[in-house]
Amino acid sequence: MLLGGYGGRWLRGRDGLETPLSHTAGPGPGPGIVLPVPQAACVLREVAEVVAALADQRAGQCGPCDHGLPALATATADLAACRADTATVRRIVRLAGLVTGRGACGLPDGVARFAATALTALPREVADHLAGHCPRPYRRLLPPVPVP
Amino acid sequence: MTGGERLVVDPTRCRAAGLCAELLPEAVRPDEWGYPIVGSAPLDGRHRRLARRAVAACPVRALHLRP
Repeated sequence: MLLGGYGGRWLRGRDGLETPLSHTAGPGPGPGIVLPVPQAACVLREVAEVVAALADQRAGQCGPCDHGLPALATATADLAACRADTATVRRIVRLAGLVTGRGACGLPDGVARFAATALTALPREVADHLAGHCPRPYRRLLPPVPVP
Repeated sequence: MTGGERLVVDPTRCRAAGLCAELLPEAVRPDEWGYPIVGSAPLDGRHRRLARRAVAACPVRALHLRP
């Protein structure tokens, strides 16, 4: 399940349901959005769509974010399209680490958390995509990122 | 002065000139786009002197020493 909407964190399976929520300790509910993940939907594709949309909204003020978010969008899109190998997965993790805490605002941190936690929360989906075939159809899980 | 100073990068000013990483490779390393990654640990005396030089050398004044 997703906790916190865009910029939130993905929690693994039942762990999500059993995670105590706190604004002060552990994973917080962020803006209060909780999204259960349907079994029959490709979450990694949705992750890629949201990362790309949020990357497009970057202000371009800070170098690591300005370079890192498009790179993160490319890597997550490759994974979503089953064009990835384990190096792509490592690159997503590395890029997430490279942008976190290195911008003037919280956008890179949120996008990085959204992308990186999906990898650990959805191991079966990641394995399917690395094997070159995802049996889950794509459908939108989150409303589109608003474009100002 | 207890030696608790550390380097801080102003991300909106930094243009990846790279002087800081050249002058102070022990405390600053460039990321894959050339933007500095600075350690969060306080600098010891010798590195503090080098850090002041790096701060002064930054062409856009994006590098700071903070307590």
